[in-house]
Amino acid sequence: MSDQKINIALAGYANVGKSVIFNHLTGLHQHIGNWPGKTIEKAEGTLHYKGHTIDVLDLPGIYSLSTYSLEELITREYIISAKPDFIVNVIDATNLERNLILTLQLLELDKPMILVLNMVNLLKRSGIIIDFKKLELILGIPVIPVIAIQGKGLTESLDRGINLISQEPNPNALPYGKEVEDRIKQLCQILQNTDLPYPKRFIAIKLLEKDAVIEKHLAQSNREVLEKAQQLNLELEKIHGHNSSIVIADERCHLASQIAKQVMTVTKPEKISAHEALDILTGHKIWGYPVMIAILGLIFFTVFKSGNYISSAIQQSLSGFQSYFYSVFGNSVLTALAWGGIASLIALIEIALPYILPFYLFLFFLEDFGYLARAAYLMDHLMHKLGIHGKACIPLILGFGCNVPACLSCRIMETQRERFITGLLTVFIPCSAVTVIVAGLVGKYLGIGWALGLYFLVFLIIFILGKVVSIITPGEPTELIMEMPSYKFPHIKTIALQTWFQLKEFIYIAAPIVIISGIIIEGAYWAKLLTPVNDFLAPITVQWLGLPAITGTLLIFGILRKELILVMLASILGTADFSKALSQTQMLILALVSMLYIPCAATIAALYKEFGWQKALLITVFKIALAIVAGGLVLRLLNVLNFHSF
Amino acid sequence: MTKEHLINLTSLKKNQHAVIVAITAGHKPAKRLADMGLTPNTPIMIVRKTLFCGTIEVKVRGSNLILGKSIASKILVKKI
Repeated sequence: MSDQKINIALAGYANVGKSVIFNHLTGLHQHIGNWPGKTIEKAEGTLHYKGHTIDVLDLPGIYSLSTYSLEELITREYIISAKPDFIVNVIDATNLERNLILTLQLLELDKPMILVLNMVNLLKRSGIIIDFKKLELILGIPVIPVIAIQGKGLTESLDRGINLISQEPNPNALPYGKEVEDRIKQLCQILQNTDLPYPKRFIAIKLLEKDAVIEKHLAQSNREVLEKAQQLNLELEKIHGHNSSIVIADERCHLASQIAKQVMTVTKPEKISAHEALDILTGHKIWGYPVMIAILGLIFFTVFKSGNYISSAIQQSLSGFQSYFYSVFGNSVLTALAWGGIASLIALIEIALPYILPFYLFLFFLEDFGYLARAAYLMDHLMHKLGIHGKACIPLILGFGCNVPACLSCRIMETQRERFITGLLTVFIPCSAVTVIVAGLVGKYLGIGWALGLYFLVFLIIFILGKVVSIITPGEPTELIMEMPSYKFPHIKTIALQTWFQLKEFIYIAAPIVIISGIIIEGAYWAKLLTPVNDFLAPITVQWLGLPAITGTLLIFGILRKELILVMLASILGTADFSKALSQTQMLILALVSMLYIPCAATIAALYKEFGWQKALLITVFKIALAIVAGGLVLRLLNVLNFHSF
Repeated sequence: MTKEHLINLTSLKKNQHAVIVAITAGHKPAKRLADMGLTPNTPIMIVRKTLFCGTIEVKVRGSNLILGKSIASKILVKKI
């Protein structure tokens, strides 16, 4: 069986080291994209091993195979439809009992599977001993102890998985309680002539769990099965006194606990170790907060100080490039358009490399280290007031630096709904470029009080928006239920690889968007469309917002990079003394509109990457509308209050 | 077992042990809790709480979980 193509899929909880194993196996031969039609990450890679070409798929981290989240549904559908040659169920050895609950569900899918017990090196410090051989005997599938960050046990896992392919899968039957098993059998019998691709036992169990997707499948073809299931569910509920879906989950928990008891011995853990001391400090009800502020502040300043430094270094080294470009290619419409595209690509590189690269490194480090869960724990109560849960504080804080990495980090939110609400709120956070505008116009000419006032207004808008959107967005508000992982030192190579592939993916998506918008704006400039555009926008800019007509152009250039609003204004005026062109009221309104209106092209690209084009467009249009409404209202309010403009 | 013995998880103190009796949340969150091992009769321990009874960290089935205030208040337990 040499040179055979093999498909394997890694499945398991989040934070069990799936991605470490994935990166160990595939290295640079991987591709990160989205599942078709969904904005959930799909990581695929290839490795050559003993004459086999093995395609590895890293399934999203899940807690069960219910249809609670899209990730769970994707995992289930993938395993059934793509028929991987074997499943690698990765579990955290220090958290055996709870992880086994998912293992039992995966076994119900009746596919070849191996169980990889990761982080066995951490068992000792938790005072746990596991009898791997006994676990293997009980489950009837290969069980391999692994230390993923050291690469230990991975070849054995592959060998044993590959051995499974030529054999009939033969996992042991792990029966539930009698009253449940009887009902599973009854359903299996009448399921004889169903054409659903799932194993019969799986369908029967899911029917007793009231699984909406399976019920929907059967509603068309097999009504009598559905009716029988409803009757059986009622019987179960009568016996146990609670919902049949809970009864099944409880059976599974019971079974997992029985197995764990048989194979696991817990002794007294070693004395308080460094990671526990760190845990006590970072999760402390008072000290946890200053520590969190210090950590996030450190990241913030490192990313943006080093980002500014590298960004301006790139800018300087490329500063002569524009005149060089024109001297080589001549000065024509075509070269100008080409330059428009190149300049915006350079601008993208100036953002992507210095800001997004270090940011991804920090984000993946904190996530793998286990700190993000602590931040979520500390901030949940506060974030709930915005209609989202604790983890959202990370994107929101990052947004002050740059909205692009902030949007990209929304992926840490568990559900699509939360991800969207967090993304929407994040793009309202005034980024560093907007801060430059506010400081350069309002802070300089009207005073710091007015600048802070603008910030307060934007925070108020974010707060109200959070409340409103969490009410109108379909779906239940998510309750915070998540694993609190113990601290562990991350695998640096995995973080580096993850960062590299995420960055690459972002540039692929963002480059066309920023290049095209650069060319269009440069084309409009050459076609002398800017004056007509100013005139066209005049009803909004001049009549509604009370700004000079020239701001139409400025706001359009601001789509490329927000700070261009100020830079262009200075170059058009020929001076950086803005008080010559704008009244104080106009400065205030221009700053407010700049804060609220359209996200910059790179942020739109980030929104597109994380949420798909429909939601990116929705957010963009909404921001423009809100900026116009808020700007006009504030202007009228100032006039009523008789604010003196001069 | 009478009603008086039942208290809500949020009213337990740090390091107190209890047993889950019932979960009064909606179908989806209740199922989620059950899938993660929080079913009736499961022992539970409070590891820590944030200020003003915000978020709770619990130990269940040998590992730690964090629960937001609203879901925690829907878990009814009996002190042991």
